Amino acid sequence: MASTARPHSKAVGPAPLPALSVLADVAARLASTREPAEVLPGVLEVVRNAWGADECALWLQGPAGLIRAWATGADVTSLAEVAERLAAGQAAGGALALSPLMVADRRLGAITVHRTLPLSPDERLTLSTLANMFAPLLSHAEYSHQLEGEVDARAREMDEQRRFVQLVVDSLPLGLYVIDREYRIRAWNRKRETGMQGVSREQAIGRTIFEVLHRQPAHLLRAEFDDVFSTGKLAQFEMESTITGDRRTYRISKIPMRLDGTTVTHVITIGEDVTDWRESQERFSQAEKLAAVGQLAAGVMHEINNPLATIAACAESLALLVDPMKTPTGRSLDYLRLIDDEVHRCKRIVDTLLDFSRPKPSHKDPTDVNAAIRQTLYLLKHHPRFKAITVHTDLDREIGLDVRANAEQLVQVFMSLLINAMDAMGDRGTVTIRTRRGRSLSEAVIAEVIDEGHGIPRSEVPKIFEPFYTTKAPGRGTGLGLSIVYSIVTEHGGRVEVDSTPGKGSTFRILLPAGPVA
Amino acid sequence: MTSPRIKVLIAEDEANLAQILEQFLASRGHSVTATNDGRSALAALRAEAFDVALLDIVMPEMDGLEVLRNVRADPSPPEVIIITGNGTIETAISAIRLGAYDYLSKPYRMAEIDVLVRRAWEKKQLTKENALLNERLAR
Repeated sequence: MASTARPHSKAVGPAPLPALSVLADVAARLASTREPAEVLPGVLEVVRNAWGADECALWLQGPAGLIRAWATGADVTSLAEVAERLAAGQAAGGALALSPLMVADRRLGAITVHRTLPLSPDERLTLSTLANMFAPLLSHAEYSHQLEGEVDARAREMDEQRRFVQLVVDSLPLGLYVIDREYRIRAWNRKRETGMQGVSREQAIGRTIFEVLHRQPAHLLRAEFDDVFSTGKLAQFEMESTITGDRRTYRISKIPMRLDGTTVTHVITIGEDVTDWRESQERFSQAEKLAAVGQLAAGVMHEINNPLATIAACAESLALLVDPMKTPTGRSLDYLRLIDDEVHRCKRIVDTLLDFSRPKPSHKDPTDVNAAIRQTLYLLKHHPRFKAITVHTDLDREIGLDVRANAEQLVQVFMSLLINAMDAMGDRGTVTIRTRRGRSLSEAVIAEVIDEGHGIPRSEVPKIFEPFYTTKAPGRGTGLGLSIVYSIVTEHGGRVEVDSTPGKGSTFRILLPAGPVA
Repeated sequence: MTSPRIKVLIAEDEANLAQILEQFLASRGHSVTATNDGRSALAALRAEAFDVALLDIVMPEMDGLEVLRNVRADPSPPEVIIITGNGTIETAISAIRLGAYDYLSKPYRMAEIDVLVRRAWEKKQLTKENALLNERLAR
């Protein structure tokens, strides 16, 4: 009981205070705060001092077991000891006095006092009273802790959710931003950081949309947003942009957003690159249109040939009636011959149209596209018009019998393309014919005919494969050449592409598959 | 020239054309009957013997190919020349497969038809002679 053994206690304390004054002091300290944790160390000190104890400690039952929550004085009581005593329900024994902290049937922990001189019954009663005072406070504190933990967990969860949503928004292949009523940017996704007019999120958030999208006319932009704010209706439109270099088509959606569920508080703007989709749509509708034209042509054909046959027969009969000796000039026969010639010219046109509308399913063999091009050039070699232009060939030597095709029809295709090129160039300049291997079976060989002609205005490009579309002077072409190119290539399972710059020239690209598509 | 008098049937639903063709072939010395649909053509072919039949493909009632199919099995059928209005090689091929002598697409030159009719007639004569010779040999 040497006082030196109790470094934290006063060597010779004042006489132990009566139990009531200890309780009064403790109660006053507890009442001074909402947060028992703040005052508990002081409270334990009061008790230890009052009883001249070596140690006074408060133990709490945590989720992972008992912990020494607060203590004052020497660290003499072990956790195992307390746990054992609690389990045994043994309140007092030797130097260690213990009182469990109970709320209803639940044990929150214990309060312990260590003193060499065991506690008197009076002191033990005081200890259990203290335990009963602490228990509800600690229970409440424990609840708060739990709440805090829950709030933490919830915050974490929300944070995760926010990150998740952000990731979703950032992963979209769309540009997305949100503005509020003041036109200030509230959200700005990754695509808007990297895409056209890329602006980093940090730079965008909080600024007005007009500052960030300074290249767009502010009054138009404002009108678009105001429209959505006032009508509360989704607005959608398409716009074209050449900011990335080539011409892209974007579909812009402005979506009203209502934070409170009633008035529009924000507008979400989504920009989607629909260039490829649009192109394939156009290709598809063009294919449909050409098929319809073909059907129409085939239907009309038979109807045309009958009257033509009658006209030809009439001319022929008339010619037999005309006696060249008796007619003063003999011109009647010339006219009748003219009728006959023109009728047969009509017939040729009709036949060509028929070739377009119903391309004959041709016999296809492994074919060398380069050979077809060489044959075409050979056939055209002596053509007087062809002599005036320069032909540059750049044929990929690797290409062998790479495609299954009808060689004759391929010659027809290249013939039409070359004649088309000559017509576009007014018989001077250079035509380049280039071939290369493609990267897939559906595009096994790619052949290009590049001219330096007048080019095709963008608005005209979709029409050039229509039968009878021509820019040539009357009588110079039937306007069927490119239609037949289209129909032969399509029948082969291939594709025709056109790039054209008015004033500079056009490139016709034929993409042929390795074999006909089944 | 002493040309044979060939019995020709025309089946053509274009009335004007049928008439002009009829007059033309008659002026060339043929004996011509014109009909305007497939059914009457078939009836005419069954009613009397013709050397050559000019059958338009697209006709009301019965098309030219159907008429051809019907007369093919008859005893001593005429030589058939099929005339097409939509000039596709497919119809021509099927006509030849059905036993047509030849085909022409509209618009045609009537002089060509005259030549074809004569050749068809010659073929028919040869066939007839062959049949006679075979008959004699068989006796």
